[in-house]
Amino acid sequence: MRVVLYGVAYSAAYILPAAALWGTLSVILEPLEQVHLLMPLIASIYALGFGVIETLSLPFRTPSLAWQVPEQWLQGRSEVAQAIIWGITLGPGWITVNPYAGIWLLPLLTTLGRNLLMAVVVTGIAGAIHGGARAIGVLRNSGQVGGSCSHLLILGQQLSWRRRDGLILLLVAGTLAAYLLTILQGQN
Amino acid sequence: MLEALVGRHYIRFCLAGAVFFIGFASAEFLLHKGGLPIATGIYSALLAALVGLGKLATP
Repeated sequence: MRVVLYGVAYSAAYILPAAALWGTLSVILEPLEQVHLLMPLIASIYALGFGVIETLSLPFRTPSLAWQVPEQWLQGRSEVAQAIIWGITLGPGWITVNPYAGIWLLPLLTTLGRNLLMAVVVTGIAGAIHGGARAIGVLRNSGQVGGSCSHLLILGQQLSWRRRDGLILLLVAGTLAAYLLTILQGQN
Repeated sequence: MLEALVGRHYIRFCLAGAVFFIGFASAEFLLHKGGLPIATGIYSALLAALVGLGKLATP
């Protein structure tokens, strides 16, 4: 029971800041919704390009920030304070190292065809899902680290997750390509 | 170069093409069923879950 409660509280520390920050981002990006053709075009090119790169495991780096949480932020702090710091920094998934291109498609998808309220709700939910999934990943992997081949295991898993991410990007690229064709047909 | 690339990864290349086509074909259903917001909402949730679960670095 205690383990479950710890898991729920730990996940909440990731989910809440992620939902709040992603929801805020959708408000900031709202003006881009007015650009009807350009945003889906950029999103589909990005999804297609990185979808191919990740699915075929091509040697091309995913755009990512390399910032990591400084040790001083954590030293001497309680477990609760550490969980909150991790939750705020890792939950939204923007500022730390990110090996998957899919995350940068999310802000672009925010700008496509929604009213502001719906954009805030949907993007906030996506942020919450990311934060929750991140917390689950951290909790699951904390049991693996320390083993003799843990880093190799993590790298191998990362490669297969990249391929999955690439396949979803290609799925999105296909849908956006059809959407662009619909727009262009409507203009003619 | 393309031939070498595709030759080495031809199964994944075919898979990539098939998935792109599924996305293209499903747009007919998704875009007419609930419009673009439903489609992007589903994809956002999928991507967010995948990216979150896939980040395996432990703090």
